[in-house]
Amino acid sequence: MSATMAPGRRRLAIRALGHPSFLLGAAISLVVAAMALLSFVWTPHDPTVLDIARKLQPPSATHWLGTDQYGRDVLSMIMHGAVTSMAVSFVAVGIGLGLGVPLGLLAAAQRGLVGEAVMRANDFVFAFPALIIAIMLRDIFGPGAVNAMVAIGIFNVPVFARLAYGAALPLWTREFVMAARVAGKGGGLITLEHILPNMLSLVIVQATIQLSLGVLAEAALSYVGLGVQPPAPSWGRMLNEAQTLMALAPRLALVPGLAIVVTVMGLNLLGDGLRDLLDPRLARER
Amino acid sequence: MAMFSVEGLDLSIYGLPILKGVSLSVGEGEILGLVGESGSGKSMTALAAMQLMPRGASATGRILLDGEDLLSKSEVQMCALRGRDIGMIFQEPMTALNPLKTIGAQVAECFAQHLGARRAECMAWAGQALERVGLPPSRFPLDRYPHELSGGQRQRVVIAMAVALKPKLIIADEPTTALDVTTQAQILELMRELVAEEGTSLLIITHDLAVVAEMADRVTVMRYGEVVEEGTTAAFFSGMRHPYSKALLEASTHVPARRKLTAPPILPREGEVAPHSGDGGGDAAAVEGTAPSPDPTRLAPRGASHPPLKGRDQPYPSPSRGEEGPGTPILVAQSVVREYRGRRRSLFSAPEKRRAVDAVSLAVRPGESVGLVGESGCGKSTLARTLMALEPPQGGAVLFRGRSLAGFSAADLTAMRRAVQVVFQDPYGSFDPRHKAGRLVAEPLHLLRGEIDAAERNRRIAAVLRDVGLKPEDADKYPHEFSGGQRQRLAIARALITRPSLIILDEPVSALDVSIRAQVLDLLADLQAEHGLAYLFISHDLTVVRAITDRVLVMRAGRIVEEGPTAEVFAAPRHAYTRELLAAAPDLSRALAARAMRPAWESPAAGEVPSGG
Repeated sequence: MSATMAPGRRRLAIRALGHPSFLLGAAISLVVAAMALLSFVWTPHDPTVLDIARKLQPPSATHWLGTDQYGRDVLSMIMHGAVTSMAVSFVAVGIGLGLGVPLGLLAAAQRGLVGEAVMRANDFVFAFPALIIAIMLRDIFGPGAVNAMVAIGIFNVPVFARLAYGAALPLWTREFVMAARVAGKGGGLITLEHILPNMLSLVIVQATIQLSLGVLAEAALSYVGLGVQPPAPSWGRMLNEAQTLMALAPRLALVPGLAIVVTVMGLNLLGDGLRDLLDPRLARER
Repeated sequence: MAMFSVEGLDLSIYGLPILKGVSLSVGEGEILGLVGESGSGKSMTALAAMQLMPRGASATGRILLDGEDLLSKSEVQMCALRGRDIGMIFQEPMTALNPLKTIGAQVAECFAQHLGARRAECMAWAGQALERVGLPPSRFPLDRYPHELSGGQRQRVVIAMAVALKPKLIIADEPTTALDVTTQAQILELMRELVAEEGTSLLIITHDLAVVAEMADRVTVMRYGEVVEEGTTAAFFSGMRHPYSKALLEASTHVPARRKLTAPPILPREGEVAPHSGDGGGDAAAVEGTAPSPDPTRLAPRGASHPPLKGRDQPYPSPSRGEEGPGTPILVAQSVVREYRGRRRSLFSAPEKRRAVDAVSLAVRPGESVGLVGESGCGKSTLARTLMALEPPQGGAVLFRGRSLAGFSAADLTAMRRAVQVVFQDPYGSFDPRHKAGRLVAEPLHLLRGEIDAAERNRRIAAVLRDVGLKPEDADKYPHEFSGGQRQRLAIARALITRPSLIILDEPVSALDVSIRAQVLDLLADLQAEHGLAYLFISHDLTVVRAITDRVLVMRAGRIVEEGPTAEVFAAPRHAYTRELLAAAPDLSRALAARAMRPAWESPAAGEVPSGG
């Protein structure tokens, strides 16, 4: 892959530097990722330590974003929450990619009965929002981060399957694919050599978008208590806990809310930028 | 005085010069043919006249329409001009119309835009405009959508829009290139008529000298952004001065010199027997039979003349060996039927079936060149895919060396694919843009996996690239680094690499410029002689088929309506459709003879409305 993409790569880098929304999106995403990584080795305070004496403090030199009603450091919670957010959405996208893309490719390569069966099963799964899946999983396995990952992951599968199917179908009618069939290559080999590489940019863009939706879904699941369990911090649960204190300390709701908004926006900008950068290149290379 | 003239037009895009001092003029009521190959700047000249230049373009010089300089007009002024004073007819009728709007609404839009009239009035005018181009509202209601019309009918709608406001100048950019020959003839006639009736000036841009000879009063030839020659059509064709014009004329009437094979080829083909001379005639009988029998007249010096086969050239052990004879056709179609499922009329009725190929029989023998002619949609490409075993037939059978494909194992199919390769039409679409030429050309070697090593693979890549006139170093390039003609050479190289005995050529030159087309046809003729190849040459272009085939089959609506030796079919067509096809094909010498008979600008069929496409 890397070798075949070489000629367009330098041009792509130059154009990326001239694309403001891509740059902004990439910067935001990197900051959030850096924050999450940093939290593994250092946070201002331990986000799980309760210190009721220092509850509801406004931002100060020791507590940059203040403390919550149990005296926990908000910045540290946000940093740890970023890990939860990222981990859940990355694994969920991984599940979606790993299952959805092969299924879509299979359906496009086989068409006929197999294709129909795969895509109709997809439609069935698509009918269940992540929240419903998470409730079902909780009833079986109990709540937790893994529950959230799997629920959002299952929700992602039909998204990627449809994308892959839709992108692969027109490629199958292209003459270079016919030429490969005349060369005696089978469906699997053609998919690997010709179909997948030619739709990869679409998949990358969609993965970025699904990542941002994953952050949002994780926050929603944690908000209703279906995500990661206390004492592990999560942006969604921070929102939930701040709810009753809205009048007293609106900051407690504002900070995790902003974290979610900024992260989702950053990933969306990144996805939009990638789409702009990758799509015209495909068109020109034809 | 000229109605439209371009004077010393220079145009550059981001500093790159595209047009250099282009000058041309069209008199009132005159038809100017602007001729050139792709990249000559002829379309850019038209776009400059409409002020529809791409980003980064800057033009200097003068473009005068009825005495007014268009280059100095503002965008607002141009908007008022476009459509009212200059009409434009585009090449691709499929994309020139908005698929979401009815044809009536699209034609009415011209009136609404420029006259500000009420909707009902505009629709009434649209009806009249469509009637004039042969789409009377009684048969083609205004609320039809573009997809309900054929290509020719859509082009009529585009023409109706262009002529709706009786513009001073109409620019037609390759108006018939995307159309079938019979449709092309009708559209050209319609344009000539409308121009004659209204006294409109017409600038017709084309790569086809035959179209120019038929239509134009004067000719301007462009190359690399410059005008190289101009003059009246009669003077132009009787005495071209510029070498490029001569080359263009030679290329458009080019007939590749086909060497007849007398000796067997140096390289044995995959599983091949000695080829015979491509004499054509009298093969039709074998098509009728259920099982092709060895032809006693074709007992070529098999075996005896072959050098002993060494290592890598050893043909695979063919499962059908025993049945093979020198005259055995490589590929036979026996009453092949190919059906598609149409749409279901009601929940309980069976879906309608559409027959794309209807009981077609044909045979291709070693070393022979067979043409398959027909218009778009006649099923010729579907037939090709069936012959390539890419799609199964619903009826009849395809036989490879006497055995039906239906019972083929994977190994049999591999053997067949090695012997039968294919070249597709589109030199841009037939290569994966992400792979290098070497890998692309070597793709069919997948059929020989386990039999050849990397060194032999590279040897073969270098050999086929040289065979088609490219350099072995070209293997390291990506497809977009090649020109259209070079890509088609790559496609031929890819087909050659398994050393097949038959190559199916599906419109191999129709996407190429005339001069490139001539070169590729020469190449195909040379390769055939050198390697003893058989060709199944599928094309809509009669001149090309005539030039390169021994035997021809004419296909219409899924059926073969006529077949026979090429020379005979072309000289004395028996079927009405063949005659129609031949009459409609633009023919340079005939067009020149015809124009000598009629005074300039006068339509031979003025006033007569042709039937709707």
